[in-house]
Amino acid sequence: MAKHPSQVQHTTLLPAARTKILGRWGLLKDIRKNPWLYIMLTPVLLYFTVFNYYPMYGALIAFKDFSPRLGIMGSPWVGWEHFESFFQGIYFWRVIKNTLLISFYELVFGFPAPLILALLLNEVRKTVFKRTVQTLTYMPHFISLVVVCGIIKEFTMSDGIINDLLSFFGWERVSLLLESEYFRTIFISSGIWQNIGWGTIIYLAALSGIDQEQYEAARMDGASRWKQMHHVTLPGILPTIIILFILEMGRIMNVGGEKIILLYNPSIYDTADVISSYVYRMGLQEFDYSFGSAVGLFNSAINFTLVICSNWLSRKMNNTSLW
Amino acid sequence: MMRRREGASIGGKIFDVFNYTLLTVLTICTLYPLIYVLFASLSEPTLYMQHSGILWKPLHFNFNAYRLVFENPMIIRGYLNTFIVLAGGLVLNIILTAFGAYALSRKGLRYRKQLMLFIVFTMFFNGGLIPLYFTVKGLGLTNTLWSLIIPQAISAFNLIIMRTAFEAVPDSLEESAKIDGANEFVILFRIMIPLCMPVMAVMLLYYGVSHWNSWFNAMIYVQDRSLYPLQLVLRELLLLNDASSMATGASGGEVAVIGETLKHATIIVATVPILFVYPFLQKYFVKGAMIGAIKG
Amino acid sequence: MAQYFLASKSLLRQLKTGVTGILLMSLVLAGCSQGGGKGGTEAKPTLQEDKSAASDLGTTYPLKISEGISSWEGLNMNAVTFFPNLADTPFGKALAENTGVHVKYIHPNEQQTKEQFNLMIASDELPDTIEYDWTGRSAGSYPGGPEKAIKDGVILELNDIIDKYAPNLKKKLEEDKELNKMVKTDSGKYYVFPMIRNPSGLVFRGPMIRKDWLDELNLPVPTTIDEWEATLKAFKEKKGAKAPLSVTYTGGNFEIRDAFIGAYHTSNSFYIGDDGKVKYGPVDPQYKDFLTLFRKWFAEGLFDKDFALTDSKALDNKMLTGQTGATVHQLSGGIGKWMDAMKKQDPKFKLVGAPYPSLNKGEIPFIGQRDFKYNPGASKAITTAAKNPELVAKWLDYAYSDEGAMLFNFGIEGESYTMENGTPVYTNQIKNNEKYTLQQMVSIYSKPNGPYEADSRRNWNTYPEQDEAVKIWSNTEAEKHILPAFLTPTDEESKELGKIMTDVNNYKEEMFVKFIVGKEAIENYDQYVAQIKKLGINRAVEIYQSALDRYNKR
Repeated sequence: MAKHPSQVQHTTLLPAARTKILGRWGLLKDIRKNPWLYIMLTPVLLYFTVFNYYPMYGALIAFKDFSPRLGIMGSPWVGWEHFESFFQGIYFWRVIKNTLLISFYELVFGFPAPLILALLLNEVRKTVFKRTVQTLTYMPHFISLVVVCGIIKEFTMSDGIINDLLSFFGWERVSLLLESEYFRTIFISSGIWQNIGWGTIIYLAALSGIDQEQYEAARMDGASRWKQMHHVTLPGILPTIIILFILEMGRIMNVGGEKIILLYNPSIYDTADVISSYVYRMGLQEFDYSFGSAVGLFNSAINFTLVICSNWLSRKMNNTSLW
Repeated sequence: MMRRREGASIGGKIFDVFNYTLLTVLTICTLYPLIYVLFASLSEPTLYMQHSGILWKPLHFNFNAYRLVFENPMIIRGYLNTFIVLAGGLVLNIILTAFGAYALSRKGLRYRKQLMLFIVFTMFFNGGLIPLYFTVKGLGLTNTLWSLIIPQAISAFNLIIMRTAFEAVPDSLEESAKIDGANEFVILFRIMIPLCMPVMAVMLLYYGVSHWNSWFNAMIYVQDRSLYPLQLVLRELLLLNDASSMATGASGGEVAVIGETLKHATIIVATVPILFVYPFLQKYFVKGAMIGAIKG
Repeated sequence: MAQYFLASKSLLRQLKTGVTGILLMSLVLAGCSQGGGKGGTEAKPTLQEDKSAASDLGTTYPLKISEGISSWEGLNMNAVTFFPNLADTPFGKALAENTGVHVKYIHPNEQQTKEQFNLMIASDELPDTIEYDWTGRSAGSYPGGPEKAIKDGVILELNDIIDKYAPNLKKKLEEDKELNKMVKTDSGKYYVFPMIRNPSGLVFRGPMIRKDWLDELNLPVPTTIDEWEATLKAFKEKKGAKAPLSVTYTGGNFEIRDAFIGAYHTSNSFYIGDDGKVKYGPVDPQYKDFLTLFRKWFAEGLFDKDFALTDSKALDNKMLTGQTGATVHQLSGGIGKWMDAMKKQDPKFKLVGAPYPSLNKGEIPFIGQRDFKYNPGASKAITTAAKNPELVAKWLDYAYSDEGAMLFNFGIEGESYTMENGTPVYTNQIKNNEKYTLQQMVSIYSKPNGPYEADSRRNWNTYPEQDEAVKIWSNTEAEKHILPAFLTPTDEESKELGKIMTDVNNYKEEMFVKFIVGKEAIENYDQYVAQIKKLGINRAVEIYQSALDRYNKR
């Protein structure tokens, strides 16, 4: 795109200008002009309407006292009660803090990890080695969470391998998952371990789209590999990075609850208890769809706002955006 | 020639050594869990129960856990159902996602922003399980394999990724095709998709893996056990592990003891086929594939 | 910039209208699709209609009937390996043949029974009979309990139906006043065909200890807390056990349950005190003594250092490698499983049941595990959708007949059991099958759990130590102190209870672990009690008390 600025302007600005002039009638005209485009769009919109928007009335149970027998529409209204009981819960601030902190660390450490791996792989010249590394690093993604967490637990127990290593250096043996200060490190690093290879794939696909001639040209100019990466590689995959980052921002409130539930225990709730694990515990007993739904709505609203903000920022700063 | 010269610089060499070492270490680390699972699945159950920490080799090599998995008459059926869902699902996924991604990548499209928001919105808000169940039921899809295909036809995330790739294709190509009289279908299938093969490969992988791993929908929408996909069959098998906790006082016997190794065997049975897919897709990740195609 | 804001504002407004429109549309649609057919009053078959049908069905099995019924019930996990549907199992076929009733079974997936139950209830497509927990006591049961289920028009009140069409069950209820009390609601309504446990099958978990170690160290099986402490110390020092006492703790379930805690005359949850009043153990002053004891044992390494992380795999590992010499576990999942596993490797390995510990020698343990005769979980109710409740009732009643009881308990004579001196004995095909375990075989020839009366002659234990353990664990005052599982708080009460207990359990578990691992000063116990009281524990106790009072008055 960057290579053809004139064409970009030519093709984008004109229709945009036309839209304003033609207004609503433009749509009909446009349909007549590009019928195929709209034929393509129809099943897609139909899908989202039927399977996403139509069932959205279900979100109403956040404001109701849901009982299966009465159904979603028949259950009595309770207004903001479920939201209030979430906000006023004694652990509200703790779970918000933990969720945001873990998300923040994930963004800082977890998000760049696959990107770095992709860049390193990009520098590898030996195809066999490169493919082997690629194939093998993405494997942990396929191992079920239960097993991964089982391995983590075994390794961190007071007689596990990590303690074996630490005690070799003179540390006292402790059950690492009973100590709140280690939880985030364990959670984030094991997350990187699980997903680094899988996350790399999309960057590798983006990398393959970069024109080799640009590298040739850079080399002609005597650019070092570092400079090539900085001036050719990174800009080439920047749109992908940004899109993924924006989408990642939209998951800030959804820290992987299942993994936390498998790993934590009451003595480290201080740092490990996040919104989803808390809701799971609170909702578990009464099978409280309404409470869960209310918290889910709260999370979604925050996530969606964050996406809108980061999308806006990104569009301002480098013209890449989701919409 | 160029490359060799470049690699000869000292800084480059140090970097290469560092890079190769790092990647090797990383590979070993990430590979280990899978090896662990493999070894555990091949171990003698009792010995495995007693074991903790790192496994260097199967403990008293045996295939009992696999025997138990494959003795289950549902397994073959499960594979078959999963393949049907995979085949049907992927065709629908790719076509519909490409339709949406292509249309939304056209800058001239009316209400493009609003439509994108319309789609992004669904990534955050949903009505939950119950209304979705009624929708699927209302369409008469429950208790058919369609219920595992149609409701998962498009992932908004994948659509966005594909759209980003389509947007990167120079508009000049489309323009010239249009001048030649090609309609949008032709442009999409003859130009866009071939040009974006790396991303199409990613899409195949993403959709394929999500179909392969999914079990929850089947559990909710399908009651006929002969329609269970592989993952659901395997999950049921694992529950045998808990069968010993049945409050009846019966002895768990062999089944209970084998539980842990069984868990690992099912993971191997469930993951190995999909692991083999990636190397085949890898050829699309070659550098410069896209631009090369444009020129060729 | 400003322009952008304007643009995005209008964009948002458009979006809003769009979304609202769709929401509204979907509301209307939802209203349409759900409008009809709720309310509990319609389509309730009156009993007069039934009477007219009665003459045709007859009173002897097989019934003279051509129509079938449908039943929603879980399929035993062991049976799933062989057959996808109960109707295909030898048991299902025999049942159909003997009763003459063709049944279409709908099996929910075991992992999501609750979700599927809720979907079924919400979708208003009920089968004739549903096997589920209707008590409303927990998340896995009908919210609001049986009275609510009847009021909601989900299930039928069974008083007349049992009276008229279920002579076998009726007889059992008349003979056993206590059982009769258990299976009724507070207002005297029957709502299920109950699963009745045999008195010999009520106790199946408790403390267990390595007998071979005790013998080697010349120690008796410990009975008091002091003896336990000495024994665990000996295990640690002389047998090198790293975690002499360990139990699993996953998802907030401390599997020690009431063992050790009972020594202090309290419980880990609600219990009935000596005065017959409901109490909540974790706020009792003596509960602090228990915490102090375990805190000490944890610090001294007598109680598992990895407490709160020990799942079943970890416990297996500890038991089988001699890191742990004592635990609290089940008859089969514990003693049976571990002895099986060690049979070849270490023939000396022997686990025996130990009595629930007490504080003073000779004291009968205050509390222990003990189930009730009536198990609400695997009991069947007849729904309002049943076109012919008489037929359903007669089909269900077959299980309580002498002939039916043999089928449900032992299976098919000549195939799965033979009669030897008037006692049914499993055949070799069941007991010593080369390929399959007893449990698997039993699951396809009989119904391990379900609405029938379990036979005292049925025994699935494989070791004499298991039979012995049952006797030892049965010697408690549990019957007096355990709060019955089938108390039925009213709809409002159960909602209130749910809210309070969610908060209380959350707080209690966190503090519980912190007290034991030493992260919270034991001096803060009073503050902890005050906080639980603030969360409303007294109200919860009150609710249980009134439910118990109503129960006693039944």
